[in-house]
Amino acid sequence: MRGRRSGVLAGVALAVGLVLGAGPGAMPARAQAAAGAADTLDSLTSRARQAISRSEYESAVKILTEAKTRYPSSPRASLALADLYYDKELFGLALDEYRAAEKKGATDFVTLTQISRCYGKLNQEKSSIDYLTRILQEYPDSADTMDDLGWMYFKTHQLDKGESVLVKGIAKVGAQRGLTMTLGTIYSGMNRYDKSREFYQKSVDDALRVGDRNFAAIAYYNLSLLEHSFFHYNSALRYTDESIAMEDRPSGHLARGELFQSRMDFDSALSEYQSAYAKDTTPLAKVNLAILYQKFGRLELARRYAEDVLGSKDHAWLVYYGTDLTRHLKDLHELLGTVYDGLAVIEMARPTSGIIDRVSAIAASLRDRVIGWYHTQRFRAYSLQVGSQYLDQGSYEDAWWEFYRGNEPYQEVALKYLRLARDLETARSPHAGPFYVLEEGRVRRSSDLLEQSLSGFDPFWEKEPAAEALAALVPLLRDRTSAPRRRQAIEQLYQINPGALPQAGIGLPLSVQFAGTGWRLLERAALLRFLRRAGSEADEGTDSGRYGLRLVRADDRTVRWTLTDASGVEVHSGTSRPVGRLIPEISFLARGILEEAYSVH
Amino acid sequence: MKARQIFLFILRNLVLYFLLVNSFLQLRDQLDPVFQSAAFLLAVLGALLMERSRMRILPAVAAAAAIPLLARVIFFLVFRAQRAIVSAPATDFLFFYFDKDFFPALLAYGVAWLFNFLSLRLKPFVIIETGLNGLLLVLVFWTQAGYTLTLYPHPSYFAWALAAFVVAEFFVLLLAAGRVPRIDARAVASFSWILVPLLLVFLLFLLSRYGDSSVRAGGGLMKPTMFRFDFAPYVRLESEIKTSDQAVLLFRTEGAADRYLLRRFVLSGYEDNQGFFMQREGGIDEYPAVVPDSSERFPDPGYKDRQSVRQEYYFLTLDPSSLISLNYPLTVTPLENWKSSSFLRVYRVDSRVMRGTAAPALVTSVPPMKPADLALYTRTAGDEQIHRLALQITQDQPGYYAKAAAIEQYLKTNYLYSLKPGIAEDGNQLHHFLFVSKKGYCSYFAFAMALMCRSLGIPARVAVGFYVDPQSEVLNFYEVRAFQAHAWVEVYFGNLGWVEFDPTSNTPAPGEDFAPFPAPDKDRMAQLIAEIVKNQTDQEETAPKLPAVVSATSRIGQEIARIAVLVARLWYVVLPAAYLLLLAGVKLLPVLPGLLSSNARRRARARYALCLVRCAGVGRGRRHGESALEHARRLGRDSGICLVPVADLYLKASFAPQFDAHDLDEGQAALARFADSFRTGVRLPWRILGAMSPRGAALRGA
Repeated sequence: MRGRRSGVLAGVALAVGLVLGAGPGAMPARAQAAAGAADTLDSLTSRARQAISRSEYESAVKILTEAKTRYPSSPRASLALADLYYDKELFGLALDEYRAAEKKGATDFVTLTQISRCYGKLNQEKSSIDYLTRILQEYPDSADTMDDLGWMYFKTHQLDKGESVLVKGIAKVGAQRGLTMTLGTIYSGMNRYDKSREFYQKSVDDALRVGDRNFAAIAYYNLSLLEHSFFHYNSALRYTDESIAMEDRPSGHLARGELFQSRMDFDSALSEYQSAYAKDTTPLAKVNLAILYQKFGRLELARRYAEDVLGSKDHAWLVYYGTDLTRHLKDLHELLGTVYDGLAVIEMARPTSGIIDRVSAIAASLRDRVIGWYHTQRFRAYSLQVGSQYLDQGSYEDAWWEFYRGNEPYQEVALKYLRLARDLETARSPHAGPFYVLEEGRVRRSSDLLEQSLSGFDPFWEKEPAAEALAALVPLLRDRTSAPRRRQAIEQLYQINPGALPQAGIGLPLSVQFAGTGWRLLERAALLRFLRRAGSEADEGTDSGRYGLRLVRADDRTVRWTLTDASGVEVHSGTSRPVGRLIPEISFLARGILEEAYSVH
Repeated sequence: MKARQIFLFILRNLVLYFLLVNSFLQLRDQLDPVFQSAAFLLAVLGALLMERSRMRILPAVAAAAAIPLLARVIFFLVFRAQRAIVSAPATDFLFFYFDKDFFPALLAYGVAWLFNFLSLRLKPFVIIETGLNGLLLVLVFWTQAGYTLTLYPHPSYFAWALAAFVVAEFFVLLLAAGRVPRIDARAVASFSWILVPLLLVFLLFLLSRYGDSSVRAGGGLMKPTMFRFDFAPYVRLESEIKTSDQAVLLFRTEGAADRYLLRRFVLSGYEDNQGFFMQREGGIDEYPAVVPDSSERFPDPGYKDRQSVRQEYYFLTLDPSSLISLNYPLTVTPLENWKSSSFLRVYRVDSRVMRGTAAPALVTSVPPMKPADLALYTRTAGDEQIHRLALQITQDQPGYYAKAAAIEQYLKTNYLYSLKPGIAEDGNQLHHFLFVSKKGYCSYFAFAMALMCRSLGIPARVAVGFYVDPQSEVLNFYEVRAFQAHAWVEVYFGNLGWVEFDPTSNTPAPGEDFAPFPAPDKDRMAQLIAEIVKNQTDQEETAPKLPAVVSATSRIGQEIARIAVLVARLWYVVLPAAYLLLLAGVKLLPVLPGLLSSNARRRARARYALCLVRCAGVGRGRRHGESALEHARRLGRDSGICLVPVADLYLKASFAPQFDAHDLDEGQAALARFADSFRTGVRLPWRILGAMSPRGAALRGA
């Protein structure tokens, strides 16, 4: 048997040898390692490359390490090792090797560019800029380097420097689409709408001219972001559609999802974010999903997504996006702060089934408050840090806005920076006005300002800020004379986004009717108490001005409930399991009603 | 204050400060250590001053609460003044930066003040404080488990810090001993015998958690290091995984190209919160997961309807000790790896493999199985929803095989393959897969099928390894890459053995652009095949068969290693049990011969020795130079323990010319009085600690 197989395999070996031209060059890596001292640097690096081509990485590392020891003055082994690490996304190790090669004299274009890229991947933008500047001095016609440097200046908010590099670059090498797109981004950062649009359009035209659909998709996406930031929602949607039509990229879906979110269209936004998530290699889709879930009251899911992203230690993706680690963390902590605050409110208002359950709810609420406070504090600290970076680079509008966010609890300071930011932004984009009025209303706790902001929002595209204004307004309308407006505001908010109510401690004003068999006084009182605890102005009876909750208990003790709006149209309904014993069962019933009434599917 | 008290005060606060510093480390990006230290110092000085001025407790609490609030008001007034003079971001942000540290500092302030005030005012509190400090220590380090020991650059620093904490607390107790009634230095020394093992147990627990979740970083199925791979011995359902196309191994088998499921582990254990995991003990065909050093034949279960298959494995990046084989391996033979080979490991496996489903399809009822095995392979978390779904899928299927096949088919056709199944709102990833998202990767499908089968009483387990497509065959060689890592289900069919079911869907979820099984890199494969072919004549078994005696020794060694692994795994049971056993041994063994003796004198002396052991345990032992009666009288005087009659009996037994069984019987009453007085004179916690203390061990009473 063994002999027969040997014969067959001998034939195979020949065939393989012929196919591959197997000779000394195709010798296995470890076999060649045995050649030992006779190896030259050439043969060692060649063997390492062969080992890499066979996925024998450990072997390759051993050979290259040996080569480094044997030929300490040559940078080649370090470079080969660095390339291996870079390909395997071990950027820290790659950087060490590239730097070692540089010290040994490897100062060519590729090595220096790789060093700058490693720094970029490791989010050390300043060092990356230093190298890119150096490369540009030595290779002044390198368009890629100009583009990379311009991008890094954008990421570090040094917009004037970025503009200068790119304008000079375009003058020198022509309006290449990479340069024009990055320049468009720089102008977008400077809030120079016309210039930004002009250069984005140039990059789109150039990409379409040569049929580079991927590039055109990215340029359209950037154009869409520009239009969105200047409140041109329809144009933004059109460019997003163009971007996705050019190439189905996750960022296109994210941009379109954000537009739908602005309209408070949960289903469309969710669908876009999920499409993005399926393709996305970055955590951005997860962040957007978390934000969407938070807005619409699915806080537990929002928490899980946000904490999943926060727990990730791989930040190399940031290099290709117009954000940095500090801003990324700032956004995550802000989101988590809001999520935990909402969870604390909901936990405190939760119908409970007894004293132990109540104590546990209070404890959970306190825990969520503390965690929420922690995240909010981190968010504020990051806001001040980001604001200071903007200030250093002369991006005053962004700096003042971040300073405002970082100082929100301190009214005097917050208002100072809010006004500074408002003056700059509304001068270039008057439509931003209502957003600032909303913020001022929140800080001052002024119902008048919040009402004023509400009247300024676009009723179709700006439902998201309108919902925020309503959620801030309702708690301020406490006195008797404001009751009708309070009810109206709650109903408006409910129509835009039912999920916003529970996390703000707001409940629908309800007229509760008990029908069917065997409702005892204690049961009715307990249910009303649970609804009130959840923020509802709930009374037994029929008030035509309110939402109605009708509960019908059947003979088998199941309860069928129906929620109707002020005009009597059914909004939600459900059936609970048999309700028998007092508090635990009523608590279960109330919980089911609240979850269903405020849910967004 | 006396020097001893001052030293105690400083040492106590050092321990507290140690805890505070470690708490800060958790939030070192957020908090200013100077601010927190200042708050701590303020609390300590405040408590000291209040105690020195003999303030009553309630006013003291009110004053302690007012101090930080007052400090905040003063600071804010100063900040306002600063802003009025210079209005710049630096002065504007003072309010936020103060509050950022102020509120966390309140906790440190509160604990430091309370502990200091109470320990100065109520002397026994020092003892309670050590316990509370231990609790705080656990709380502070609790988040550091689960592969996240981030407070210290290396675990050894953590061990040193913990040792310093224990020593400091021990000295605190020693220094406090004289201040607290009925607690002397000996009692403290006894207590330390409990404290130290307890802390060690805690440390082991922490270190165990430290390594526990290291595989999570690998995406739930594979456990990667820098360049190598292996499987995790348990599988969790992750919300997202990434795959790599790195070549892992090559294997050769003769015959037409076929589909193979190469098995690495079988996961039979199931816990709701853990998922499926490798059962270390018991079960059916739970063979070793490590390639043996020499040729090894596993017991042949004699399964019917199976064919012999021989395979040779050539590992590229898989951990060399990992045993990969088909279901069911009979012989594993390590082969000599040739000099300068491209492969990390070469071995051959002869297996008995089932081809086709004709024989299992005839099985209509649950095959016989031992009750313990049946319990293991049908264990679920009792999930009603999954059970209902299983019933619904199989309601029209009459046979045993038909039910399992129906579940497999249902999952295959109604669910989608996805590397990003998403996050479950309630944390239950399997429910999310089955009832919400309906998409997942192989582990989801395997979990779902195994649990559905189990819920119907069909013994099933999850297997993990690699899926090998027939298309990857080149000249009887198959290349296996990391993305082929797979999970599937094995169902028990009695004398046919475990039969594989692969419920994973081949339909990708919408929008996910990936090719599930891209074609192999034939050029690279050809190079490796050429190397194997060239060196095949060198392939001999690693080691000749060992003489029987050596094999027996090896088996004993393996058995010892297996027990050691079991002991290490169950350390939380084994360590305390071993300690208690050892304690019982050293305390009771010296007196046991006397107690069992027929000689009345010896028995009386042994009984006295037993009483002495109990007294010594609670720090009431005989002092050097003290006679038996002096000791017994001192106990009666100081603690109310009635040892004098027992000591009298002991002396009589030792020195009286006459001593018989009648005297011994009379001594029973003395023993009963001792036992009663011991119970009333020594509180229960101290009696328990005394029983667990090794003090008094090896006393013979003479």
